[in-house]
Amino acid sequence: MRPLRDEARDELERQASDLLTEASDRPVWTPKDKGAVWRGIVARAGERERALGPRLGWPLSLALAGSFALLAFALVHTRARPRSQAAAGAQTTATVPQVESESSWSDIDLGAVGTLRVARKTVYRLPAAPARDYRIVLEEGTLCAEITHRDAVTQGPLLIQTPQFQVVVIGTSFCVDVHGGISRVSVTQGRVQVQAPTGTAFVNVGETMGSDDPRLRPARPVTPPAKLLANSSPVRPSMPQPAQPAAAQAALPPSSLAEQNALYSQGTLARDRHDGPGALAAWSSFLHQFPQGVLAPEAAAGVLGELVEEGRDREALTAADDFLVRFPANGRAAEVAFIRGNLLREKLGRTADALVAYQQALGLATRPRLKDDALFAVGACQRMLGQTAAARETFKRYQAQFPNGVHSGELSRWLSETR
Amino acid sequence: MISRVVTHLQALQPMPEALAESTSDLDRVDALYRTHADFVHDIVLRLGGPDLDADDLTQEVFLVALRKLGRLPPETDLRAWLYGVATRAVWAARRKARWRRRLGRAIPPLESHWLETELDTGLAELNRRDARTTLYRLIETMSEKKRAAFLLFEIEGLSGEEIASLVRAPLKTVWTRLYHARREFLKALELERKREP
Repeated sequence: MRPLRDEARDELERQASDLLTEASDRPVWTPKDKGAVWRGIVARAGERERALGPRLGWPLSLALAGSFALLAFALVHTRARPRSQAAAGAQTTATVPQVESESSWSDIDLGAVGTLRVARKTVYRLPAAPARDYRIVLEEGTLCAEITHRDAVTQGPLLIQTPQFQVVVIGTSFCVDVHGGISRVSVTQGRVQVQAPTGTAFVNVGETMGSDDPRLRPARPVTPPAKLLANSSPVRPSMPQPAQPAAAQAALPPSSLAEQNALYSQGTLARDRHDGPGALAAWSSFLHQFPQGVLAPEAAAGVLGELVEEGRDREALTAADDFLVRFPANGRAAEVAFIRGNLLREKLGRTADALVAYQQALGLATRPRLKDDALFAVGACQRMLGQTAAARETFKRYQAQFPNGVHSGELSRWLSETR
Repeated sequence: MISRVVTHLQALQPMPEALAESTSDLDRVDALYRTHADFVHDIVLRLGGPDLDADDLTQEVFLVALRKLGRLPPETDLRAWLYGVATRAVWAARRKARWRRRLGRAIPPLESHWLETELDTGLAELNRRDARTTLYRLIETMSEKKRAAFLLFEIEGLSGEEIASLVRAPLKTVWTRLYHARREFLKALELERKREP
């Protein structure tokens, strides 16, 4: 960079000095604030103690720590050891040794093809060299893939072959799990085609299909057109069926924490790439598949955040409602209630409902800053609704509780002007 | 992402039995709090900047102290140890703040919507807020070590020796960090001024 002339340098340093001086002023931290923070420490310590008693606490903590360990090592290199057993049905991969991943999760860069994330103890084989039909054999375990869009004519599809079926991919994000004699594919972006000996079906974003899915069973005799007309159902036989309901999911064998973590981390990876729809699809898929999963509250909060980010206000409101119903004791419930209030007030113009939401946030909040904002919002809504006396009471309460709160200066002036 | 999960898990971790059963550890932390709360609050306020809640972070720091104080060697410099805990809390909160900032961008803070348009907010306070916001934006991309040295020296007014003692680094290292931090700050300010109409 070209050196500045002396005068310019002096001016810049003067501006820097002014800025630093101005920014050095700090809000006063009064003994009352200090006391409030200490009471918060004692309360939060007590909450943690109550949240998990000693009997349930340690086992659950260990389970969660295990879950974390899977995540923490997700990006560590894989050491793969060869196994002599060959996967059934392998065609283009016959000369490549089969591997069983040993680390918790391993990322495999397939170059222009995309990336794979393979769970521990997954038995799989990659093709020896790029072929027109890129075929990966998955014998047991879980792998997730993000596949770059492929030209169907020149490159052909990517194929994931399991003992039960074959997944045909043009370009999408998905996970395939082979466990207990059943293969399942979950799609987080785009769609894939599943080809089984008994039938073929498409799996769309947010859906999961198992090898025992009725859609892969041999087709029944075609219904005569007259009967179809008589049937009031709008679903045509050839259309893909909607995602499996929660009851059907519950009937499936319990999935591993690893699979949950993979799906959740797909969402965060997409979000970090600023791919909002991708993150939304991954987390929605997570909530669909693992409604009681360890990271379900995180996924639900992620869905809410993305919907707000995309300006899908009504859907965001529904997501916030859903979060508060499903996870009322979660640490983020207060924040979600507050966001719900903001959506109602600002985006939907429902100030009375917003007031209730802010009151709920106030009741749930344990963190001082959120309490501060929620109490202020309650008073502001009351004011907007013409409940002046109630607003004055709320603002006075605010001043008593947060004398140095974020909104205290403005409120003092407003109260003195409207006296 | 992992930090978020760590936080999620930490929030669910039970209190050690010894702490849950007796108040003696709480009493010890109470004493620690009386002595060092102002210091910790200053540190998290300065290092965290205007986007983070200093009260909340102060609570976090002393909750960590509550869990770990009993296991510290007796010769531990508690002030320096608290500084380390505070900086880690700030770093974690800064990472977490990404998620919240995204929500904040979508729905601007209440104060900017209602009151500033209806009531006369003090000009001096607005200037101070602007200065704080500008300062922390200019040093957003600075490395954490340089950022800490810069803020502690320029804003908090600590001496080089005090900073060296807190960050457990040689004095010369502190001066080096400060030198580079100042250069980066001036460069960022110069670019900012050039962008202004």
